[in-house]
Formats: sequence, C-alpha cells, structure tokens
Amino acid sequence: MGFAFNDVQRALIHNVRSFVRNEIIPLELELDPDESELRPSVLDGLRVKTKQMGLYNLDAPEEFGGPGLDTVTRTLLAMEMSQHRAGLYSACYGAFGQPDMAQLYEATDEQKERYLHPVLRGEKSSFFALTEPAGGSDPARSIQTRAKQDGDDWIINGTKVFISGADSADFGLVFARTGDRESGREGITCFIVDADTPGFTVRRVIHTLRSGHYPTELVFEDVRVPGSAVLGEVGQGFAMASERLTKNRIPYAAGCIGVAMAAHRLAIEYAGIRSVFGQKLADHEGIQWMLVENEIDIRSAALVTLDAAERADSGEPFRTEVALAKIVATEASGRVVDRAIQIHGGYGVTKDLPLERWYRELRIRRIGEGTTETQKMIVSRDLLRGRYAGLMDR
Amino acid sequence: MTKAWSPLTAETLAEVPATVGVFEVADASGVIGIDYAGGHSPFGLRGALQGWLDRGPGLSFRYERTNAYLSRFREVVQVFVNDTGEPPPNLAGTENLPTGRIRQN
Repeated sequence: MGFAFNDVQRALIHNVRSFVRNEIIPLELELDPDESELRPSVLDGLRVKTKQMGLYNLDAPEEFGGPGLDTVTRTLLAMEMSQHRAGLYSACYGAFGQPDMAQLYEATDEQKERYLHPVLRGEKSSFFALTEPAGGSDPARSIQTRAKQDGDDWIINGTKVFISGADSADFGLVFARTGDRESGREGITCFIVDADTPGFTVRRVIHTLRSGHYPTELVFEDVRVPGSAVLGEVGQGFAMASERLTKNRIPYAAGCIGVAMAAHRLAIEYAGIRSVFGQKLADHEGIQWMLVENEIDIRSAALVTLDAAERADSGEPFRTEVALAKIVATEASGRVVDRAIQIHGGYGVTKDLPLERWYRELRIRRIGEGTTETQKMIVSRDLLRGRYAGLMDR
Repeated sequence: MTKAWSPLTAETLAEVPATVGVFEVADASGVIGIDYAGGHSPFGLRGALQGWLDRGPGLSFRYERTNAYLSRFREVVQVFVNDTGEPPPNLAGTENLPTGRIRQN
C-alpha cells in the first residue's frame, strides 16, 4: 500500500473540492435542509460545468465518453463530492451524472442504443430493483418475483421494496427468478423493464429517516416484456447484481468518509470559538479526546477504503477488502458525526446545521448495500475457507 | 391523505402545531393546494397555513405532521396527479411540481 497521490489526482481533487465549495454549498443555503433535488434548470447549469471539467458521467469508461477513472481516483473524488449537506445520498445533486448502471455496458447493441446511451446523455434515468419484502441481504434466496416464459415473451409477477428513483425513472433493471424455487443464485435473471409497461406500479413511498431521497415499493402484475428485455444471460442475473454491489460499496464507503471529514471540520472550528466554564471548548480535555478519536476513525476508514480501491484496480480479488471498507467507513463515520453533534451541543441537532441530517442518513448506511453483519459474514467466510490469508500475506 | 378536513380559520389554525409536515388546502371546487412546512418554514405548519388564511375565507385544510415531509409531499402530489390527471393548482406550471407515477392501487 502506498498512497502518494499523483499530480492528476491532486488536480482532480482540487477541482471537485472547489466545485463543492463554490457551486453546491452556496445553493444549499436556499434549499430546504432535507432537500435532495435541484430544480432542473439549476441542475442543467451545473452539468454544463462538470462537462467542461471533463468529469460528467464519472463512472463511465472512456469508450462511452466518461473520464475512465481508476477506482482509487474515483474513491478520492467520492470523498470530496459528499462534503455538503445532501452529499451522502445526493452527491452534488447528480451534477456529475446519474448513478452508474454498470450492467448496461454489457448490454446488446440494441439495448445500449435504447437505454445506455440515453442515460449517458442525461435523457433517461433508471432504477435498480433487487430487494424484496423477504429480504435484501440474501437475494439469491429471498427473490420471489417470478418471470415465466410465454412464447418469446416473459411475464413478471412480484413485489420489490426499498427501490430508489423508480417513481420518476424511465426504465429499471429488475431481477426475477426464472429457475425453480431451489435454483438459488443460478435461477435469477435480469430484465430491462420500461416504466410505462402495463402492470408495473409504484405503489407507495417507503418513508424513512431520510426525507428528500426516498425508496419506493414496486408491484409487477403480469408485466409482459419481450425476450430482448433480458440483460445478459438467462440465469446469470445474480452474478451481474453481485458484481455491481461489490464495486459500488467502495464509493459508497468513501461518501461516508467525506461526510465524516466535513463534520470533523465543523467540530474543530466550533471547538475553537465556543466558550464554556471560562474556556474554549478546545481547551477541555474531554473535547480534545473526541477530536482525536474522530481523527483516528477518519484516517482508519480512509486507509481501509483506499486499500480496497487499490486492490480493485490491481485485478486481484477484492471482495474481502471491500467488505472491510464498507464496515469500517460506515461505522466510523457514524461515530464521527455523533461526536461532532456532541461537541456542538443543542445546535448539533438543529436543522441550522447539516450534522443532524448526516447523523440520520449515516445510520442508514450501516444497512444499505449490505448490512455490517452481512459484510462480516463475507470476511469471515473468506478467512475460514482459506481464500484470504490476511493482510501481510497478500 | 385521509384525515378529515377542517375549516381554515384563525381558531382552527391556532390548534395547528408549529412543526414540519405536509398539508392540503381546498375550496368549494376541491383541492387547490398541496405543500409542506420544512426545515426553513417559520412556525412550521401553522406558519405555512397562515399564508393561505391570509388569502381570504372559505378554505378548508388538513395536515400530517411528519419528519419525512419531503418524501410525503412528493408522494401526495404524485398520487393526486395520478388520480386527477392534473397537478394541484398551486404547483401547476412550476418547477416545484414533483413528477412521477406513484399510485396507491
């Protein structure tokens, strides 16, 4: 491991940091403190700027018009992009492009023309429908949505929960069981479903600790899609979903660390100006130790996450490293924001500051994209089955 | 939103909490406004509804106090648009109109 950033990385970090401070944070002064969306005209203006920066569609490979960033650089930028009030779930309000649907890069030419290219141009948006009422951490067993073949078509029936963006998306990637009940991960297929397909309903918003960014519940009642809607191979949907989930956990972890850095910075500033019992907060040992604990948490999480990113770039298996990063970053960032609130006292829990929003949203991060406990299962399996010998033996 | 409607008067408004939440306003023609009181709304629901009371008599209202005011607002508006085919008048033609296809049944 070595994290001496190169000149390109330093320049990109500087550009994104300036963008967040000069373009995003001033906008938030006018927005509701829970807001996750910008008016379309404002977002369009920001996207013009990110395109000029060469950073629009941040996750797209170069052949699809993206900057073709390696994972370490992408991780560093994710740490910068989240450093504002809405940054955890709406980093820069989507100014750098929509969430990546990496599966579409493997689509047929016809599917790319119809779905991928419009997404990259910002003309269409999508949702990712994997989780079901029976569970999200173990999709191979919990998926009960079924797709049955009918001639050349498929008929989809089932329910999905905790799906973001489905109410306004143009299409979605929907994972359904095409094998029998015992088929496990080999019996799951991914379908591209247009949102206006008869039988598809967004039944409700699932209200959570978040307010601006919300998940929905979806119902599929005899939704008929053509055979050309299958993405990849029949029965290979789980592998496709799994790959996406694993890689996404790296920027997911990095976003948490960015928020922790921003909260830590606020706490340090406040400790230097607020006086109690005749001294600045910063002069009290109890506060000093909290700040040091924050620094330890942030540095540990950043190093573990950058290690996972470096591992992903190396071409070596990186599942264990990503699971560790997801655990450490989400848990540590939650602790950092909690301490920052404590240092701010009553102001820390008001909507005058972003801390209370980060506190609520970071709690969700320990569950989303695979719970802490699921990540621990992944690591322990790899340790106990001898696939992973430990840090020093890599 | 399924709560009962109340006439919008100074007396009924005094009972409304100054918290965040979502509300609907109607006149004799039906719902004319769907909105929320958020983190920057002075005096929360009470303050937001005061603005409607100031427009004149003859209105009724109902509200839900909820910390998930933005997601609930967007849900209520989308269901309204799906049920009636048009946006509530207070949001028509504005960039604040949530778009989407949520419908309860």
